[in-house]
Amino acid sequence: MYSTQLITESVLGKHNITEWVKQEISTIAQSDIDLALARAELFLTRDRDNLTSKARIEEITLLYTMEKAKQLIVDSLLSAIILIRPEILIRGNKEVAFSSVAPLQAIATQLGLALHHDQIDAVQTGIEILADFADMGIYDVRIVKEADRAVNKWGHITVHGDSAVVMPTLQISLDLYLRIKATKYLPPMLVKPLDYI
Amino acid sequence: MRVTSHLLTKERDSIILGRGNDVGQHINKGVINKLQAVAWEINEEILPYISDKLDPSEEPLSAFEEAERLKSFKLRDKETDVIIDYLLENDNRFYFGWKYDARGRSYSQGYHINIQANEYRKAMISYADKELLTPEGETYLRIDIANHLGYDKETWGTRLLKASEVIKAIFASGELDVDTMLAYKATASSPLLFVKAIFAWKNGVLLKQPIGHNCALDSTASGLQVMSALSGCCTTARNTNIHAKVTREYTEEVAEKLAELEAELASL
Repeated sequence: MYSTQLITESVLGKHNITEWVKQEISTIAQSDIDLALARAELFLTRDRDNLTSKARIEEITLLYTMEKAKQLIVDSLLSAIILIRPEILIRGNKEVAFSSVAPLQAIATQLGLALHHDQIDAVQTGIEILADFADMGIYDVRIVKEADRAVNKWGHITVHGDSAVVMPTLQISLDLYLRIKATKYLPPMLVKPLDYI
Repeated sequence: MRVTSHLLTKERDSIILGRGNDVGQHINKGVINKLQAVAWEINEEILPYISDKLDPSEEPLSAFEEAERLKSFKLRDKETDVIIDYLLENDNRFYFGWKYDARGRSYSQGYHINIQANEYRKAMISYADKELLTPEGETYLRIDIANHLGYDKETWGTRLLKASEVIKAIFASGELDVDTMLAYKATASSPLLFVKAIFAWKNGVLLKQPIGHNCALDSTASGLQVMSALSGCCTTARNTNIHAKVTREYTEEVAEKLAELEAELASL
């Protein structure tokens, strides 16, 4: 039972996704990672006229130290971009596009929360990071026009008209794609759950 | 409070559901650990008599949205069958992980199989560790049968009486008459749980076998009941049925009072 439970969790558990993404990031060429780390250092150290922004960024280096903060920025940016999943968009009753997009503010918040506890600070820092890394070629930020508005297959509006979205250009491996696709809600446990300590 | 996880392959987890709700407060982990130690099983015997159904949507949906809803229901149903097979193949003994929500309520974890899900999912599982019914247990099983027939707002006496009538009719021949049971099922307020309780009666009372049936009793305004007990307020205790000769439906009475006040305000 114990081994069956282990296998079930390893294959179906959504909690493994973070680890798989880390593994995927580790396959990226070190020279590209170094370039991103240098960019992160520039982001953390460059002069800022806006005092609020300056204090917010300084707080990050004070909290995490420069080395750790650089790594956090690069890791969370790559994870956030990798995890923007392809989605079928629908207009009327027709599937119009197979697209991977995520609202700019959602990705910015996700990024920022790796560095701040406060949501407002998080989204502001996240937006600044996305602006600074925009020319690295791993994603594109676009404005979606009202005319291109569409809903996803659950009937929710994925992108509202005239809003900014992040489109990944970084390709994930087929293996990771299939592994993420196979994850499901876990069934009940075959062995007694571990006690919370 | 981030603690170790109940899963074997996850190092740390939040014991509180929902992002942002975990703010490092102290949490009673003992209760959750006890709930997690309870073993459950699929009630194989009643599976042929129960099935899931898609309740009508509370808000109007477009034809497209309705079709998507149906598609997702069918997928969940199909996946549930796969999970049931998986559990049956693996000794039919399983456990739930439990967590709190931000208000302190406890929730069992699970999408396909869950003791806190809809009627179908509640009906399909029972305790894995079975026990023989005591006379007190038999009384509660009668009450459970009456509750699922729709007598859950009646006094204990009425419920026991109604349950006895139904049991007498269903087991008139000395064994379970499935057709009569299905006829009562058609009129029951919780038909699937009614079937489950009848099978528990068959096994526990008629065959005198150990059973793992779990009864559910809804209390009226439990929060206020606890408050009245702690504060010693007899009026609240009476109004919330802790000691009352007549069953009072607290929420209905509050709703009626509010409607009266609203009418008074409107007439001003």
